[in-house]
Amino acid sequence: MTTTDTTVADSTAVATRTGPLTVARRLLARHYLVVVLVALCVAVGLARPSFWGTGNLSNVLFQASFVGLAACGMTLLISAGLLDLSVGGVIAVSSIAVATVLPHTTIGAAIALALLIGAGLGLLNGLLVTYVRIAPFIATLGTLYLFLGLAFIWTSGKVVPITSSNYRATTTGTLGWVPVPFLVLVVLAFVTYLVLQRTYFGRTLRAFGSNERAAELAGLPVARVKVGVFVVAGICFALAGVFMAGRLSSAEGNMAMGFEMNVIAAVVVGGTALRGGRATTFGTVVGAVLFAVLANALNLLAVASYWQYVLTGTVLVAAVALGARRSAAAEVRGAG
Amino acid sequence: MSDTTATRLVADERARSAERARQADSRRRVLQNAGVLIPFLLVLVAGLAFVPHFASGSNVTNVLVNAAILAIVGYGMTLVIAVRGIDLSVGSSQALAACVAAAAVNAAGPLVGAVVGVAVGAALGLVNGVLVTRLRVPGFVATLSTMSVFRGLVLLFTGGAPIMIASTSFKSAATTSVLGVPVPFLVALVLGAVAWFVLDRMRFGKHVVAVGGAPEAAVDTGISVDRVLLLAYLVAGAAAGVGGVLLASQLGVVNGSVASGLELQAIAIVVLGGTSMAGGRPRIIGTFIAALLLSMINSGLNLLNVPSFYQYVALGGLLVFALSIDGAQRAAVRRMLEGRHS
Amino acid sequence: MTAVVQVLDVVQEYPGVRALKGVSLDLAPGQVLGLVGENGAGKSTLIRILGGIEQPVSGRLVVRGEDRTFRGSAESQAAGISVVSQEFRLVPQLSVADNVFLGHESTRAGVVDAAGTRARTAELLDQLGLDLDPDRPVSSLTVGDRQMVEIARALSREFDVLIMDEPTAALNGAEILRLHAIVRRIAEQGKAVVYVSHHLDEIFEICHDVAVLRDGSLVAHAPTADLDEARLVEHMLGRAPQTYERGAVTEHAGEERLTVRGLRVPGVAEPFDLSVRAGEIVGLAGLVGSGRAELTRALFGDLPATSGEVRVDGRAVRLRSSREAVRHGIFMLSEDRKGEGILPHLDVTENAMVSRDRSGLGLLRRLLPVPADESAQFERLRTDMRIRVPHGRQLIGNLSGGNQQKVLLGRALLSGCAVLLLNEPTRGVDVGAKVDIYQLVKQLAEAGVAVVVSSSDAPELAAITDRCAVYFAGRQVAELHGRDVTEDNIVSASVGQTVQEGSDV
Repeated sequence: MTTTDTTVADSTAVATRTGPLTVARRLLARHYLVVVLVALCVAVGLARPSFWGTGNLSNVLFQASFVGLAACGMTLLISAGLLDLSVGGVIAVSSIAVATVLPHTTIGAAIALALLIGAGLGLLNGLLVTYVRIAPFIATLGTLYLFLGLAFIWTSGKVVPITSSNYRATTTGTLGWVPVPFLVLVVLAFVTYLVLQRTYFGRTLRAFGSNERAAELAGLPVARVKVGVFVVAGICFALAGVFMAGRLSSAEGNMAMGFEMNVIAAVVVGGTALRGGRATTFGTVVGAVLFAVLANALNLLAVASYWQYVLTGTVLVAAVALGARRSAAAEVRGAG
Repeated sequence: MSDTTATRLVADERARSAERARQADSRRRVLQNAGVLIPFLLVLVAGLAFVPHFASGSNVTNVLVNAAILAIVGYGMTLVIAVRGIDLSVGSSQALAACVAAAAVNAAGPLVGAVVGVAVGAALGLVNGVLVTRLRVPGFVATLSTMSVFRGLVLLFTGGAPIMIASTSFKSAATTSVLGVPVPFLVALVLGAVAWFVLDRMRFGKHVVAVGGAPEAAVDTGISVDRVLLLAYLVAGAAAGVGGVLLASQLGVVNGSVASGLELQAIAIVVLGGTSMAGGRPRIIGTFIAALLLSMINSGLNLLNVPSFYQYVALGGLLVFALSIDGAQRAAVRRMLEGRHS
Repeated sequence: MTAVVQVLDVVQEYPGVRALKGVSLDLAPGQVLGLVGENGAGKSTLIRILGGIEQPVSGRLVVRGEDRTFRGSAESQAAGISVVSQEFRLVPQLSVADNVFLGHESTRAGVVDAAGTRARTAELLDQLGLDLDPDRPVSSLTVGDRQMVEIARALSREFDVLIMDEPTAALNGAEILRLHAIVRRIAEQGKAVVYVSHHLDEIFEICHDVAVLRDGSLVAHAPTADLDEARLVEHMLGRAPQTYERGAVTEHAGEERLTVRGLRVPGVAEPFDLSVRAGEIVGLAGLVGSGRAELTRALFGDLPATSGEVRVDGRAVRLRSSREAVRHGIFMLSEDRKGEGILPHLDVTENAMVSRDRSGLGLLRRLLPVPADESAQFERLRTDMRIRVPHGRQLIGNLSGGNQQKVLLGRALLSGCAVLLLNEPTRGVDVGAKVDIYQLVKQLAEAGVAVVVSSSDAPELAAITDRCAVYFAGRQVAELHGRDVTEDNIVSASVGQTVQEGSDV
């Protein structure tokens, strides 16, 4: 008998040791966020019954979809162990682009332009991170201010109104009481899931996030994919900007100041670990809705809006701390 | 005979690798100094040549006071970056420290106000340090979160309204000069000298370099890594507090949104000054010079009536420039290391 | 005889592995204890426990008759245990003197006594016969010098027990002799020394007693005088050393698949030449720092070569990145399986498929991974390579080292490579899986792959390679063919002892 056999026996045992209790616990652990969300909704509903009004609910979903759309891109980035803090800048620039060109072109062309700009700005981030080799969070902190500066220069610090009522109708329409952007979010989230789990691109992302050196030595196209994922994320951010501009009927430089916090918080609270390697798109959507409900609750309870800063930050840090504790319990062995 | 051949081979190899190391070292040093000195001189000359009133007394004072506040925050950031951390919350910490200090000055006088301001900064730094060392939250997420939390707290504290400082003696502290040099600048010089001495000559400094340069080695030699990290974040918070007190004194009126975006400026000057994001290489003097550089750029743009948005762009560009030099340095060092051992 | 340190029934477990299964050892003052065992036998774990870096699951440490629990290396050092670790644990940004006294600086009110530190360091280095400026930054030192600084650091502390983990791996002949003298002197001063080494001649040279670890258990503990090398090896392996039967040494008449001409690599003194035919297994031997690690990495495009030519199947190829190397049919497995091999968050199937050559596949499978197709592929690998894993969705981190290595070999196989570079292919792999891996490597070679094995494990090279080049201090010092590829020849050439005419310098 060699040691190999005992190790195999061990690992088989680990794999088969799944009683009903463990299954229940695992399901709960995996979807605990849904439980939290439902509990929160019930609690808020009890305190302020107006929460369940369809107008309010669609309000919440609008809020959730802006964060969620951007968070889909962020999920891809974080699964690869990357990060983008320039969300607010990308949203501002692409929205301003929409608002500026709308009087002259069709809605489709304006949206296409916004997405193109998002891709361009994402490309810049990707190049800085990949080829200039600047740590992602700091490179994108730099470009955040760069993009914001561009946005302010473009508008001279003024608000650019969106005059096209067609555009507003398209981007803020509802199906029943479910807003169009939320439907777009559902589709985008599903696509993100497929990209992440079922494509070579997604596999390379996860491989890279799991172990950068190993991915490189396995001959994966790391550099290309890294730039690519920043571009894709930029497009997601711009998409969020397109809908935000419609909802606000205007665009300006600081329309999405501090938005990166909400986006990262949604992803992390959703259960995606910041160190990369794996990601849950479903969790991201739930996380986005959770924060929207939280903000809405503060609003309904007439709490000073400044509390939102405090709350978002606290929830984010708590989620990461809890995640750190859980992964310390050896969830994935061999991950540095 | 065989032994002598071997010895000769080894001696050859040693000499070669020492030579390589020396070259890489000098390359690195050149890049490092060029990184801050060339832009510094360029901006200085350009400012003197093209910007009206650049060398006027009031502008010089202005530049020096702004540089001082920035440099002091930068020292703390230098320390945190040297231990491979980051503090994104300095802006919010400074704002909270400034507002609380302002309220304390109004309530209990200038001296108490200043002490309270610094203490608030240190306490906030302690929060960051605890999050990083006890709760194992990566530095940038921890401070990204506290950036938001502290900003929320300062807005709650002020209720969104500005706080006027009544004490004229407190307000004059930032503008009085000793031998023609503004007081804040003297404070920055003294604190800079202290920081340099601690990092270069004291045990704590060696430990900082060890924790940032080779954390495993630090653990193995029995250095308490957590203690060093905690102290680094604490000092960064306290430095932001000192900056906040000086800012309150300079402005005379503070509100909840002062010092937003400060983290970017602080990181920019630290990296521009030659401190490597890879850790283990603090450069206090570089940080100081880079603070002067950034302050000159800002005042130059102001004097030229360039809209303030362009300052954002300039700052973003400067940061990317500084970091790309840092990246090149790291690549050079990596090549050097890879050339020698596996 | 009162023991300075007693280890009593110490057990250490990592998730899924029992690294130490109840080990007891006594250390007497003045004793030099040799600690030997194969890779993964538990030596390093035992040292880490003594050094306070890890805490045992159960068992006791008794220091001078007193039960101790070390919660960190500081406490272990305070108890008088000084460790020279195998990995380099120096801070490259600090000077030699600062490194030597790191963690126990002599200070006045927190200010480091620079002059005193420098003088003490110079003294220590002098003792070690090392002519080094104490102010030089460690980043500018060679591997051998770093090892000496590491030793100087251990000596600079007050200690009763000195633990040296393979201190001679990076040293040359003269330095080794000097180190042996120092070890003897320390023992004469009444201190205990634990000496870990793979070079058994060293053990017989300086150790009074020898303890043998195998699979986490202490299998022998006896005075060196009562043992000879063969018996020691028998204890280490748990069986008589098997004379690996080598197939008849045939000159491979296959096509030349890899040709390297004048490849210059930073860190290696000489340009590098090599040709490997289809079906051939060529070994690269040498100590740490001898340059062989740089060579394989240069061949894989991971380390840029400054000049020279590499041909695969007669085509000249440019190697600027690992990706390019893989595209040109070269594949490498790193010696650091955890750090540079496995993708811990991905399951075994994905781990095996990441480098798959997709050029021959249908359009759909070329664009998207098809789960059914991939699991079928993995099933094939699993049976062919005898990978012991319950199912293909298992995360790779949960496998034993040997099985991880098999999955990685599967990855190499699927990449359709013409040239396979293996670094320390069986490091941290248990004996059973080792034989499997040797067989797999041979099978790969027989299938026409040109294999290059770079290893510090001389028996391994002797067992599987057809030809072996030995490196020392960045130069090829010997090339062994056929029957000359023996453990003895490899070892003696790699420590620079017999620089024979084989080295056409």
